[in-house]
Amino acid sequence: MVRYLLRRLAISAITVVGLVLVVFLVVRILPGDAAAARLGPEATQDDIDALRTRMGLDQPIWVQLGDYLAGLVRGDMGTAISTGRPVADELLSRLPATIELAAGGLLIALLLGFPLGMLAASRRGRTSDAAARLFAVLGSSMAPLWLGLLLIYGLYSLAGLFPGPVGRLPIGTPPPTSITGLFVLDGLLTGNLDVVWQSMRALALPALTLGLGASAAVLKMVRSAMIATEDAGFTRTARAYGVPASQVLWRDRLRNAMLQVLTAIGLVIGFLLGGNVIVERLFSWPGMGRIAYDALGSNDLELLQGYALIVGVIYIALNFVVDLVYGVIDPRIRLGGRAA
Amino acid sequence: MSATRPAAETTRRDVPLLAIEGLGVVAEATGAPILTDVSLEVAPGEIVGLVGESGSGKSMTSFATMGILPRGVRQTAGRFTVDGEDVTDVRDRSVSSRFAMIFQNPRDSLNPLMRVGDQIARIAALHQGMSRAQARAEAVSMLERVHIPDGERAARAYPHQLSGGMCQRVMIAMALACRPRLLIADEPTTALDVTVQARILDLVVELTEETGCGVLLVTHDLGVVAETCDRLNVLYRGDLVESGPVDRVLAAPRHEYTRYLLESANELEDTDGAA
Repeated sequence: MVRYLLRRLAISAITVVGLVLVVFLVVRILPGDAAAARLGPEATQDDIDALRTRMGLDQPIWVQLGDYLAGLVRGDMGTAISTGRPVADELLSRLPATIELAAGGLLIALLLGFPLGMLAASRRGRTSDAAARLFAVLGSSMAPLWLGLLLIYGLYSLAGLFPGPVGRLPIGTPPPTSITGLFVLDGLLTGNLDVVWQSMRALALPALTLGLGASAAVLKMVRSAMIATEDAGFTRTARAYGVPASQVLWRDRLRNAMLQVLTAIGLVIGFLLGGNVIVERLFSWPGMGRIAYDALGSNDLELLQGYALIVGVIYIALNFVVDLVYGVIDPRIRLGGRAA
Repeated sequence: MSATRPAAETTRRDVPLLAIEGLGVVAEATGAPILTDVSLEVAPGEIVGLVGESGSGKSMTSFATMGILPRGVRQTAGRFTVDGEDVTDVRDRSVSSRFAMIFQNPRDSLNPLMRVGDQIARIAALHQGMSRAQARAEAVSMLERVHIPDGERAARAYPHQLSGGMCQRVMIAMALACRPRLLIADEPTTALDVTVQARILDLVVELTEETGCGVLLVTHDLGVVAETCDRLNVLYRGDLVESGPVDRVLAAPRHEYTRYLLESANELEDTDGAA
């Protein structure tokens, strides 16, 4: 297990290095002059040249890369041109909002996807299976923007069940004392149940927007993995020896199916992290995706670069966790090849 | 050839342990028959062969007997009796009638995520009403009974850490943990190395003699039948075309298909000898 973990850790580290290089290069290769963009159409060529020198853009690319890496090591991701604040501060201060939203989406994806997938698999070919698959097709083909608009229209404008798209708390409600930055968690920790309730209500629609699409992916994978285990040899053995159906389902089939489902969960996390740009914008959610969207509008390459980097690192870290769970579940990974 | 095991000859006709009468199985989707009117008997202590080419319905016969027909396949006719008692409608024949089964791909037949000892122990607990501790001890002793040297160590292994032959021994140990009266062995050696095949078959024969359980040995290998079986049933496209004592069937096959099977087996043997 230790060897496996070290290997996965090394691979994750290499991936992070690759990520840094790709993010750096993509931003440099993009057409457009960062200095010109920052100064606007009124600027003279002299102004632009001066700024280019100050930003180091006149240096050869490897010198720029060296400066960039040296900065990263110190935790310096550059300065956001649009606000003048350090990129790291801009992004990390909004990280909790993004994590809370993604976690809510993941929770919804799992709570919907798992039971529906198992139901569809156990009732293969019947009406409930067809309904679950229709849900999966709709869920995975509906763009988050459109789905979010529908949810806002239906559940806020018409039904009035949830608060409007105005962020993490209703206007005027003070946020809880910050411990983790996750409002629901902080509310629980400080005993501020009103904030817990309010922030969960505010979280519901954006999390549903993200979670419905993701739940479709989970549903499809759970369904196909459970069907695959239905015909597996170990299932046949357990049934042949009269092992109770519930034990066959939970202990034999689901645990084996989990190996495939974990892969889907890794992909879903990527979707949740990437999908948040649109969803945060739509719901005025003050997360990282929101300022990445704004950075696009204001041509703030430093900020975009930092966003891509942080999201990429989170994704790599979470997939490392998924690899860890693989090792816990599967002795073939934990113990490697033959030992006896 | 089958003279090695004459003991069962005297007892078998009196009390058929298992009798299958007129078994019919169809594929639900197409209605195509998979088995038509298959009848056979197994007496205590007897090894009965069921041979036929792939697709002839050998495995379906054993699945139907265990009551584990796959999805989309349905039994339409026939009854199963154990000691003369009708068990056709009994859902779980493994527990109630002490049937056990081993399969063609032993490693695939074991749960890759469970220690083999736990897999045997769970069957022992289920079939013998043992406590967890008793069942664990039973698993170790069954593993040693199938001649695995260090039962404690083997019980802690996962299937991927064991060879195919070892996995089949584990499956046999699992079968023994049921105190089986009938063992269905569905191509138990087909997926194994040639050298291991003989040892697994010897083990099955040895345990049959020790426990007095009946064995339904499903195989396509007439050589295996000749060495181990008392009686032989030949299945051809879902039909039972011939059945009788091994000596008689192999010496004087009555059905054309049996003759064909024998000829191809002999040809193989000849080429083996020439090579």
